[in-house]
Parts: sequence; structure tokens; C-alpha cells
Amino acid sequence: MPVLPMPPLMQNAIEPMQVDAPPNEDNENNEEQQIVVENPSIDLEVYANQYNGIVRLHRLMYVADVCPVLAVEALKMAITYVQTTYNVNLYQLLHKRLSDLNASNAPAPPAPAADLAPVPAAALPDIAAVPAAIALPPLAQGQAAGEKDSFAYDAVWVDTKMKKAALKLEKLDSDLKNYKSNSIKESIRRGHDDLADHYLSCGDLTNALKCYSRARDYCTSGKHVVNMCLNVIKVSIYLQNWVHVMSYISKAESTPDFAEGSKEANAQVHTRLECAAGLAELQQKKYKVAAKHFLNANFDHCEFPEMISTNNVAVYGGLCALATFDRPELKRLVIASTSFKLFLELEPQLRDIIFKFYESKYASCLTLLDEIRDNLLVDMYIAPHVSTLYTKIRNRALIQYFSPYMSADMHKMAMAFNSSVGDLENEVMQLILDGQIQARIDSHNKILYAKEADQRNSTFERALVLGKKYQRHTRMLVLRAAMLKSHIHVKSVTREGSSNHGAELCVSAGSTTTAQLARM
Amino acid sequence: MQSNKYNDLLDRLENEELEQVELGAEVYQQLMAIYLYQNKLANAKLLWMRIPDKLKEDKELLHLNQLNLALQNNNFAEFFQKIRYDWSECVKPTMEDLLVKQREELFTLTGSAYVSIYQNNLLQMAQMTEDELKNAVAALDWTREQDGDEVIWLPKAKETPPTGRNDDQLLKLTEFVTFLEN
Amino acid sequence: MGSALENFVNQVRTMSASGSFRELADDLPESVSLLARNWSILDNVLETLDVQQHTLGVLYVLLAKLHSAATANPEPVQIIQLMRDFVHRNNVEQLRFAICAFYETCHLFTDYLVQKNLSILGIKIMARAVDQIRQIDSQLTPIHADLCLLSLKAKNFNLVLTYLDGDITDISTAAAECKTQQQQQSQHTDANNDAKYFLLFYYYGGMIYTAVKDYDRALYFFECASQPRPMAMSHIMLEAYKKFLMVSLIVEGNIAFIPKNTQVIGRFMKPMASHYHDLVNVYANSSSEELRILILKYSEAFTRDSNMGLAKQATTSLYKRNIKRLTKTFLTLSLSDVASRVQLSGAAEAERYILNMIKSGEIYASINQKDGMVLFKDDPEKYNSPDMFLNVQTNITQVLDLVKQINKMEEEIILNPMYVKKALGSQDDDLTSQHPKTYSGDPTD
Repeated sequence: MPVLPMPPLMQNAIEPMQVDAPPNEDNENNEEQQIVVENPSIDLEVYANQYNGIVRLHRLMYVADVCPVLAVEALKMAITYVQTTYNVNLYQLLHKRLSDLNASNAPAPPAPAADLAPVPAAALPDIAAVPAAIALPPLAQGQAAGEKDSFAYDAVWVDTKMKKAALKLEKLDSDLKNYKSNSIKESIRRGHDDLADHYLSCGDLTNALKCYSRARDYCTSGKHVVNMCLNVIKVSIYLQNWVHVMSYISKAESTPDFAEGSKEANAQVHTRLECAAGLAELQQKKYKVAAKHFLNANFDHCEFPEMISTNNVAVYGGLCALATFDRPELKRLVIASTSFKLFLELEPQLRDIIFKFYESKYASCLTLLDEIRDNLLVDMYIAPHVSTLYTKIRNRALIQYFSPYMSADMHKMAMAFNSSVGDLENEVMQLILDGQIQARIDSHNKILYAKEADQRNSTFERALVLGKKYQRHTRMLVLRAAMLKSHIHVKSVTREGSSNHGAELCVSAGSTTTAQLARM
Repeated sequence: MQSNKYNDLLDRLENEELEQVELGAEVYQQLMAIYLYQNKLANAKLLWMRIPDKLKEDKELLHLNQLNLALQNNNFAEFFQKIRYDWSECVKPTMEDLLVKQREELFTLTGSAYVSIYQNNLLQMAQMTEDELKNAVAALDWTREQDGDEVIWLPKAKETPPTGRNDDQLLKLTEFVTFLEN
Repeated sequence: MGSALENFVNQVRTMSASGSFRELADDLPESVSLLARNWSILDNVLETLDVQQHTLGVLYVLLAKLHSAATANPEPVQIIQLMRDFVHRNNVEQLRFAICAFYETCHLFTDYLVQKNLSILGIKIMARAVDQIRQIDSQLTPIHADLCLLSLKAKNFNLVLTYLDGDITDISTAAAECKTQQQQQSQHTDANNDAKYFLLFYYYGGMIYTAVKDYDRALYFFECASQPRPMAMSHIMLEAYKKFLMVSLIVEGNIAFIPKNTQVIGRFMKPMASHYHDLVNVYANSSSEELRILILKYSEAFTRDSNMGLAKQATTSLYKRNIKRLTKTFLTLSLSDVASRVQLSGAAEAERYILNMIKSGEIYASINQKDGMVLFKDDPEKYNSPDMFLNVQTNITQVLDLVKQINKMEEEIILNPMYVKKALGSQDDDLTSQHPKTYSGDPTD
């Protein structure tokens, strides 16, 4: 029983967090908030066209978040695209963001506003063409006609869309009820799926997930189950619920009929699952596992714009592999892999980086890495991990560089890694402390010496330490046995008073003596 | 052997402290001096803490405590300065022994801890005159070097003589062999 | 009145003479109040009794004297002399019939001395008392805690250390003793007091070891004091736990041994010792600067718990630990680099730290004043010297002794009829067969 009053408890419950968490949290938050990408060399339009559905919106919004240069363009693209869906909320949100942005931009330099206009103008027709083909010819044409206006808030559109969405929802709902009353499983399943699709289009992810999951009870074949899993995985990815993603991947993989079915379709499902797993592991910072998943993807069946692009697979897989694989693994699983080669073709820069790394040309490898850094930072999935992965890659390079040497000149080493001797010293020191490099630094002459561990000595040392631990442990064991034997417990029964007495006694003794003693 | 020199006296004094009510300053002085000599600094500190307040006025006790503080802080300069004092008869021999012991310790330590040390620093630490230092250092076979205006000493690391526990070891080994044979 | 006392004396004399000590021990507790009421003439009573022959009688007179000390206000020297006389000349066989009363007398005596500021004079008496009453050297008695308290108060540890250094394998408790002696006090409070004195022994012991800077041992004691399997938390445990964390930092640099009763620690101790956990976390970041700031921030709390000294020691130990880390990574380093890496104020301070560490054998290095560099060396220990051989040998012997001890305990348990009955009688009953197992083998869980 706590004998002290409650308040300290409550107060303290928060405090450990403050010290515990902030350093970590701060780092991450800062990283995410502070990411400001100055000049990415991506073509936003090409970039956006790799995806469709919610992913495209999410990605564009992320670009708008981190990259002020592209923000307006990204938002406009997103607005155009969102109008092909029922996602009215997002439309409103995007407009708010856009007007906020314009408001803050406008007063400062008057020129950009004028400058910016032609960009979307150029970008627009293409994008508009896509949705136009799919869904809404009148609107799209309207946009093409007066593009300036098309980015003004369109209240009429919002209204009609909302009505339409509600109508459609009602219809799907009543359809589903119908199916249910007829209890035809297949129809019910489809009904659920349709409803979920609609929710998804409206941007209501939670309900979409619910409906997709409900379809589960009406699956009649393994294929359906797999399909259901894929749907759930898709939405879970949007929701960034990675644990959910992983569990449904294993569910899909353990479906009995998964192995059957046409090879073609199977390969596609398989690749899709691998990509999803890679993504989930990446987000949970299990880089090595992530790399292996991505490397298992099959290029010919990698076509899921609503989830991930082939370029993404190449970048994520490549970087994670570089950061976590040792040399033989890198050779065997990445460089010699025929299927991953095709992915790498899409990202020639990354391919060069991997090859340079393998050829131990670390300076150019690291320079190239720096060059693509900005492009990685506009990618919502890899951005939070860029600095970790880069550090890992750099450390791996340092370790590999030094591995054949008995001693190495740190000036030369610094040159090879594009850094100053001082920075290098710190890096190497950390690696030595982590036990990743067996070496000592001669800071006077700036030379790094490899150090052989003396097995005999360390064995002795360990044995002695273990012996001490064992003795300590055993002593305590004997004492505990004695305590049990004589029934010594601290109980809370009816004698709060007497325990308090003991406490006072000891505290008072402590305050007079230890205060002085401890200061010695 | 050396550090055992005062053990009997120490036992007697400690006993006295536990049984007598009113103790004179002399007992404490001797106790303190022996603790210092035996390098039981924690004991010396505790002793100082339990010395009755009125005795803390005692000049010699105060001085002894300062020595203790200097030793605790590893402040050699302070120590050698403070030990130059006109000690009363009851602690004088102990203090002389302590001085010799600490000097020796200082040179052993500097010998192992320094590759090179400026003479000025060494003089400061040991509180010796230049000549005294020269003699002490000559006995240790240190090398003298000139660095600009200053003299720098390169100590010669002392080999630690093998400790004569061979008998014990032999005994244990014999035990072990007997154990194996049975 | 006078006749009542006469009756008391007569009773003691006749029963002692006839050797019926058990009956006497059972009867005497009733006379305590009578004796205490007549505090003014107790000395006369004492004159009629002989310590050697009438140990029990004298014991109760002493007890009454101490009980009435507040009103009677006797001369301290006299009480001390009486106690000293008693512990030196009593008859242990007789004393065993009234262990509880003896413990109580000792506790009261200790409190009395602490109050009178004469603790130092009680150390030897209490040590003698412990020697007398414990059955084997490794037995812990409730009055061990008194001995520790007196030593702490007197700041004189030479004697008490010999009692602390041995390991405890058995515990004598008032509860167990009194069961046979029918004390009026309820079993309950006794059991609680037993736990209290047990905890106090280890808590005081830890403080004593901290004071003489034997941090390894201190850590062990504090851990013992924060580990009993509790159904509730005691303040002694909390204080011990706080000190445990501090000393652990000083010795190990982290919290290596986490006391076993994690549940209680998680629920009660952690929140109440949150400052200390903050300290541990900051310490783990190895930044002396942060640690300094944190200690400054919590200085009030640490001072209140009188752990400020330990906190300062922790700061120093972090400096040292950081320097030690440097020796693992560098062969040479300039003194100013050392200073900046471990956040010391300058090359001179760094030199001082390094010199001290060389002196105490914590690192192996040599300083080159000429160019201001430190040359770090490896531990010259090659594990081939006779000394090291001896060291290993002693360790092995200690371990073997421990194993013997465990075997002996196991044998005891196996031979225990209760255990045999339980182990054989209810093999399929999970609950009961679990019980003897926890009793015998695995007190660590």
C-alpha cells in the first residue's frame, strides 16, 4: 500500500516520460517537421502519375508539406485529382491549405503568384485528361476552359458531390440489405466490397476497412479470402496500421488455396504481398527484413499504383539492402539478382550507388547518395528513415573500408569519406565503442590501428566477472531461503502505523548520517 | 611489515575510544595520524566527524584534518606543504613515516603516469627544492631534457618486483594435485 | 509495594535455584509493570540478585529500568555500566528462555543511547550481545540492526564491519522465538517488526558500506533491503531502493541487477523514485553536462532524501566512466581533447582526473606534459601472475563453499518431514506440489 499521499504519484507518472521520451520523440518530430526540401529534382507530374487513388493524394500532400517550392503545384494537382473522387472533405481541406499558402505567399513576393499560374496551366490538361476519361467530362472540361477559376472553391461541386455520394451510399446500402435478405453469399460479399469501394472513394477509411473486413464472412473460395485480405491490407496501409498489415499478409499467405489458381494471378498476389510486407517492415524500422521482402518482388507483376510504384520498390529495397546487407549478401541478393536488376534499371542513380559501394568507391558512392537525398525526402514512406539509413550505410562503408587494414591514415580515410578528420574521429569512436570496429585511434598522429582482441585475457576477465556474479546471486539465494524460512514479509495488514514508524526511524537516521557520510 | 607497525597501538586506541567517555585530544591525534599513515582515509574522515566539537579547536587535529583533505583530493602540493609542521611528540614519528611514504608514492606514481613532466610542476607537487629533487630523481635514474627554458624530466618506469607469494602458490598446487590424485 | 518487590526477588531466587527457568520466563513478563512502577528502588533489587545466577531476573529489571528511563532519568553511565556488566556476565542458557525480552531490552537500550548521544559506548556492548545470542555466526538477529544504528550514529565502523562482512544464512526472529514464550504482544506486530529489523539491518549496512566506500558491498546490501517479496511497500524499502539506484550508477554505471520484485517496483517504487529514474536515464546518455543540470534541478529532492552526496559521486563517476571509454577507443589523445570530450573544464582538470585514475588503478595511461598528450595503455594484467592465480583460487574456493552451503540446505529440506509428506503425498495435486518446490529450490523468482 502506498503510504504517501496520491499527488506525487500522479505528478511523477508524467515526469519519467519527460526525460524518457522527449529525446526520442523530439528527434523524430524534429526530423519530420524540419524536413524542408530545397530543390528536389523530381518531375511532380510524372511522380504523381505513378499512383492513383488515395495514395496519389497522400503523396502529393506530403510533398506539399515538406517542399515549399512544389507546395502550390502539388496542392493544385491534388485538388484536380480529388475532384474525380467523392472525397469532399479532402477537397475542402486542400482548398483551405491552398488559400492559406497563397495568403502567406502573396504579400511577400508579388511575382511568384504570377509565375506560378503557368505551371499548373501546363500541368493541368494532362491530369485533367485522365479523370476526364474516367468519370466527369463536364467538370473536367469546365476546368480546362477556365483554369484560373477551377482552383477557386467550387461550392456547387461540393454540394452535388455530397448529394451524389449520399445517394450512392443509400443505394449500395439498400442493395446490400437486399442481398442479405436473399442470403446469397456471393452477392453479399460483393455488396460489401462495393460499399467499401465507395467509402474509400469518399475518403472514409475506417468505414472502408470495416466493410472490407465484413466481407470475410461471406467468402466462398480461397481466392475470395485472398482478395479480402488484399483489400484490408490496402486500406490498412492508408491508415498506416502496420501491425494490421502484417497480420493480414500472413492470413493471406496461409490461405489454403493460395498456392493453387493460375500462376499469373498468383505471382501478382505474391508480389503485392511482398511489397506490402516490405513497406510495413520498413515503417517498423526492420530494414533488413524489409529489404528481403522488396527483393522478392517480381518486376513483371508489380503493377499496383494504388499502393506502391516500381520505382519505390527499387529505392526502398536498394537502400535497405545497402544499409543492412554484408558484402556477400549484397552481391548475391542484389547485384546478381536478375529480377531486381529490372527494378534498378528504373533508378540508375541508385544502381550506380550500389555498384560504387560494392566496388569500394565510397567517396563517389556517398556523393551520389547525397545527390538523391532531396528526392528521397519528398517520399512519404522513406523520408523518416533517410538519415538512419544513410548513417547505417556510412558506418557499413567505414567498417568495410577499414577491415583489411592493420593501420590506416585517418587523413586519407577522411578524404575517402568526404569528411574532416575530426568528424571522422567521432564517427570511428562511436563504431569502436559499439564494437563494430576493433581498433584504437592514435589521435596524435591521426592513425587508426587495428586491435587484436586477446582471447585469453578476455576469457579470464569474463570468467572472473561471471564468478563474482554467480557468488552474488547465490548469496542472495541463500538469504532468500533464510527469509522464507523465517517468514519475513512486508505486509500491509492493519498496521500502517508501525510501518510508518519504521520508516520514520530509518529516514531520520538517514538524514543525520548519510548526509554527511555520502559527501565524503 | 611497514604498515603493520602501528597496528597494536591502533587496536589499543580504537578500543579506548569505544569504552571511555571523555577522551583527550591526544588519542584522536594518534588515531588520525595512524589512519593517515595507513591510508585509511575514509576512517580518518569518519574520525574527524566523530571528534567532539570542543576538541575540533585543537590546532594539531585541525592540521591533521587538512592533511586528510589534501590526501583525499590527491592534492600533493597541499599535502607536502601542510605536513611541514612542528608536530607534538605523540604523532611526530608517524608523521615522519608518512612523509617518507608519500614522497615515495609520489615518485612511483609520476614514474608510471608520466612520459614527461616539467620540473616546475614536479617541484610544485613535491614541495621540494631543486637540489632535493635532483637527488631524489637521480636515485631513480630519470632522464633530464631541456625544453626551451624549462627542464623536463623523463621518468623511467619502475619494474614492479615479482611478489613473493610463490610459496602459497606451490601449496595450492600441491593441494590441487593431491585432489586430482584422490 | 515493598512486599511485592520482595515477592519478585524471592520468586526469582527460588525458581532460579530449582532450575525451573521456563516457568520463570513465563511468569516474569507480568512483573514488568510492577518493576517499572518502582523504578526508584530498582537498584536495591539488583543488589539482591546475581547476574550469573539470576540472569532472567536481572534482565527484567533492566528492561523495567529502560522502560522507565523517560521518567526516572537515570545516570547514563550507570545504565551503560549495568548493560555492559549484564552482557559480559550473564548466563546464556538462562537467557535463551527470554530471547524476546532480551531483544526488547537491546532495542530500548539502543534508542536510549541514540537519544543521549552516547552511541559510541554502546557498540561494544551490542556486539557482545549479538555474539551471545546468535547460535551460529551466520545468523541474523533483530539486534544486528541496533548494532548498525549505533555504529552509524557514532560513525565508528571498525567493529560492525566484521559483523557485516559475513553472509547471513539464517535469521532469528522475535516472532519465532516468542511463539514458544507466549508473549502478550500479538504475533502480528512481532512479524512486522522482524521484517522491519531485517530491512533496517540491510539498509543501515548499505549506508555503512557506502560510508567506507565499499560500494560493491553497499550495492548488495541495498538490493537486499529492497528485495523482500512484499505484499506492500515499506518506506525503508523505498529509501533503500533509491540508494540502490544511486550506488548502482556509481559502481556499475547502469542498473545491472534489477531487484526481483518487479511488480512492486513498477507499481509503487518507480513513481515514487521518479527523480532517481530520471537520473539513471540521463546517466545512460553519458553527458556529464545534462547530468549536472538534472542534479541541480532535483537538488532539493536529493537533499531531502540525503542523497545529494551520492548524486555528486555519481557525477564524478560519470566523468571517470567517460574517460574510461576514451581509453577503449584511443591510443593517444591530447589533454584538451579529453577535456572537451568528457566535458571537463580544461586540460588541467583532465590531467588531474587522469592522474587520480592512474593512481587508483582504474586506467592505465601515461601523460606526456611536453606535448600535452595522454598515452592510453592496455591493462597490463596478463593473468599469469601468481597473484592472479591466487585470486582465481580464492574465488573458486568461495564458490565451492557456497555450493556446499546450498547442498546442505537442500539436504535439510529433503529431510524435512513436512516436505517429504507434501512431495510424496500429493503428486498429482499441482498446487501443493508447487509449494515445496518454491520452498526448496527457487527463492529467486
